[in-house]
Amino acid sequence: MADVVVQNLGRRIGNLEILKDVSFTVAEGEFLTLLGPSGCGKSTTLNALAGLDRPSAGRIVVGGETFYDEARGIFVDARYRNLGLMFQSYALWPHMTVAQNLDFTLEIRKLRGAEARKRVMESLELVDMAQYAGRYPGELSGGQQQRVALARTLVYQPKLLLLDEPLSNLDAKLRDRARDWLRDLQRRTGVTTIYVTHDQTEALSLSDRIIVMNQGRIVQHGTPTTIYETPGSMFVADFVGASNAFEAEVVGFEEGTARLRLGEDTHILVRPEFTPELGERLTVTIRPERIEAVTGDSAAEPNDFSVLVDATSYQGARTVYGFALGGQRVRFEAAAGLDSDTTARIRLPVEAIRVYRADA
Amino acid sequence: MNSSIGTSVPGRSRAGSERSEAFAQYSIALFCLVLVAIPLLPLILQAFSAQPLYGWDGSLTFANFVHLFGLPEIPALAGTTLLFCVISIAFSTIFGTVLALLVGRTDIPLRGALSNILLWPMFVSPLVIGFGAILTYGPSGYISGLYMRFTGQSAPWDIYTVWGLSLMSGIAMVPMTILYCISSAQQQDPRLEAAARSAGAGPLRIVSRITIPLMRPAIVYAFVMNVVAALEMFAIPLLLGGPVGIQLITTFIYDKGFEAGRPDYGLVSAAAIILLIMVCSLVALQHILLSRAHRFISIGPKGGRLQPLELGGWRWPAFGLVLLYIAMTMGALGFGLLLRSFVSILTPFISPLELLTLENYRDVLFNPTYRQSVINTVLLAVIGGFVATAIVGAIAFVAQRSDFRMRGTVDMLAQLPRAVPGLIVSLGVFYAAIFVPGLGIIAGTLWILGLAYIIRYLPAGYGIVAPALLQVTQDFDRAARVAGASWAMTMRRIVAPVVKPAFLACYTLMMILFLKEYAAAIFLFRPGNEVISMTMLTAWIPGYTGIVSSLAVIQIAITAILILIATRLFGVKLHG
Repeated sequence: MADVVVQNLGRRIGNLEILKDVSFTVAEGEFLTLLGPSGCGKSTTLNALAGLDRPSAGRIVVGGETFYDEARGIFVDARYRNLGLMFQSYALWPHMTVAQNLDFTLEIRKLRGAEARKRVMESLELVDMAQYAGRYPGELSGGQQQRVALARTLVYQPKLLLLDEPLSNLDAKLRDRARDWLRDLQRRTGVTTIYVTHDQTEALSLSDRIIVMNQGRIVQHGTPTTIYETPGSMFVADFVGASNAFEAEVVGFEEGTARLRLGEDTHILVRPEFTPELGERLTVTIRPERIEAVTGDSAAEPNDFSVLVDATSYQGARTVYGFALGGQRVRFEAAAGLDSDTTARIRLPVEAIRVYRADA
Repeated sequence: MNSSIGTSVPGRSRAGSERSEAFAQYSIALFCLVLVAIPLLPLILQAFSAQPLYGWDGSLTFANFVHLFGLPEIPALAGTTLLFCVISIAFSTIFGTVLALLVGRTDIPLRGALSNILLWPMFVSPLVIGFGAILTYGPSGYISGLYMRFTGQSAPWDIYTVWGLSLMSGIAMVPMTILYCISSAQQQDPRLEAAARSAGAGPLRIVSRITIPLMRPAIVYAFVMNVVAALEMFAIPLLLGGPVGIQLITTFIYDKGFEAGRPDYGLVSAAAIILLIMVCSLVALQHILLSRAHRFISIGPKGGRLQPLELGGWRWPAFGLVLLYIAMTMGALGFGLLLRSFVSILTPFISPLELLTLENYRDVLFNPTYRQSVINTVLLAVIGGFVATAIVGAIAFVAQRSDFRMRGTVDMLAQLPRAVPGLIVSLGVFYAAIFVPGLGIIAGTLWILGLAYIIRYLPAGYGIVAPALLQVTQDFDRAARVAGASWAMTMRRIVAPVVKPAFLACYTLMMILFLKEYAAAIFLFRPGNEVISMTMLTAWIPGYTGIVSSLAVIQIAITAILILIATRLFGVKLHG
């Protein structure tokens, strides 16, 4: 197992800059996720780590060994990095049985005989696939193939485990189970893991830390809670979890809060982390589940509104409601209980609202 | 799992093994370049040299081309070649398209069997078709004799004419047209025809307005391939045109190359270059057409099965017509050859039972030259075909599955001999044996034939293996690389086994092509390295038609056995 240092990584093809100035570190045994939409550079970063693609700038050090350093002209090919990479397609060699798939990686390391057989069976037991050792990949279900693929990357005890959207080929129900299982397995083996996905649920539930990427750059870096609760930009707020977003104009300040005008005579109070100017237009976001329906006669607080709930969408465990506020459509979630086309009291808690400068 | 650093890839210095990897790839690429250059470089040099290559003084000249175009027979030669192309291509395109539609898209009886039988001439040498044509439709042929017996008049046709040899060549070219059109007709989106049907269109309207227009790319492609085939066609013009002095560009090159006394190498090469340029531009044109044709193909889930068009009352008459075509072409030719091989004279006036003999086969078996030619042909097919497949594999791995810097060039090189007619490969290798020091050792051996055959059919094999490789995800290689496998190991242990069916198909095709090849051998054979095609040709000249027929039957039988083994035992699919 090893720690990872990535410094100022860049990748350029012709005039196209697909990766720019990406730096991060991963501690030994940590589970780090690279999260972002397709084309954001997360897979390029992973391929650079694996040694399948040579970057054009920066440095990669894993476990004290320099794998890549543009300045010193070092690039170690994938073959010699001793990492485990699991593919989205699993890439199980179809002409080899499950056991042979694992054994091939040991054969390369000149590990034969009883020791090799023991290692293969140990790895298969780790993923609960020991009884399928003699099967061919084509005879396994998607979930079983995924387990074998993982066992194949673990059998030679790689320094680092790289996972490229490993769950995206599974159906929704299986994906939930596989996610828990994967997290558990990573804890048990303690292998340093870098995980690439565009699925925010996977990122939030699996990771120790998340790096959100967009257009070849890192846009935010933090624990799942930080990323979800305090997104650093409009992009992150929108990409990680659903958000209501609307523009509003600063019309006044009162004791650490700013008063924003939303519509003709709708004002909300927000607490920005920066000092806005009077008349500046800001983007306001709030997550649908943070909007509260106020019941009973509790005292009026700031950001309480009386609105007409005019849309409901029943989704089982929760219900999504919609209403108009100052000319903007707003969605919010609640357990159940509101009727359509009724007037309700709604609260947008000040601490739940995040504001961004229009250009962020 | 223990917490120590995992087992790493052992030993050997990284730099060293990376160097050996690059070395292997460079060697394969260089080998490919040499293969392609062997027939072309000496030929091009010879075309621009005033002296024969063995006495070349290093000067370059256009004199050979001036001489060529100044020859008095050139206008007639060009005219005949053009007429030949027009007739043979028209025959091949019309019959090929109609037959492909009938067996590929209608409810004609026995359509599966018919579509297989119609492709058979592909596996037979045009040389054999030429012999068969003379034995059946020639002035003293079996069918001409039958006509005379029943009408009392001599047959109104004469195959020793431009028309005769063009039509016979057309028969050899039809299967190629069928092959392209049939797959296009069967791969059409059934919804397109279903839509026309539900709009009220009858079968004839569907065929003329939907099916044929959709087949246009395939027809155009087949047309271009037909032009290439017609320009390359050599055996049938040689057999049918030679005796009466009809010359095409290929037979002109052959005649000049074997001219008594000192052949004019410069003139021959210049003519070969002209042929090469024509074929090259056509192959280039076909590449452009093919890249555009992809736009015609609708990708997506197929909406149900393609429903055969109903012929109604025309079902049996159409079946009769297809049978008649088969009977008059491969049926008659094959029957003529087979019968001739078992009788002492071929004539419809005496019952063949009275003339029955095994003498022809005895001659072949006991004459050392004939026997040796059969053995040589089989050796070339089995061993040469295997070597060719291995070379194709190595080149395809570098071109399709490596980080090699010039892999695009290798890919192009491997396809280049497509544009080089067999006769020219033969001539080029012949010059190379004279010109390249050391290569002379293999002159007159089976090795030089093997070399010529491999060069000639490199693109055919590559055309099977490369697309198969393209369909295999690169993730397999990447997974092996990340796990620590070298390039060579990845190719040998991962990629090669995955594309094993393509390699088997490639090997089978190579064996079939090597069995029937004649053009690439024509300038290279000497006593000792004869192959069936060559001994047939030499036995034909003094008129040993019985021996020629039995050799042809043996050649066809070996091919048939080979195809049976490959398709039944190894599940090889040769087309479709």
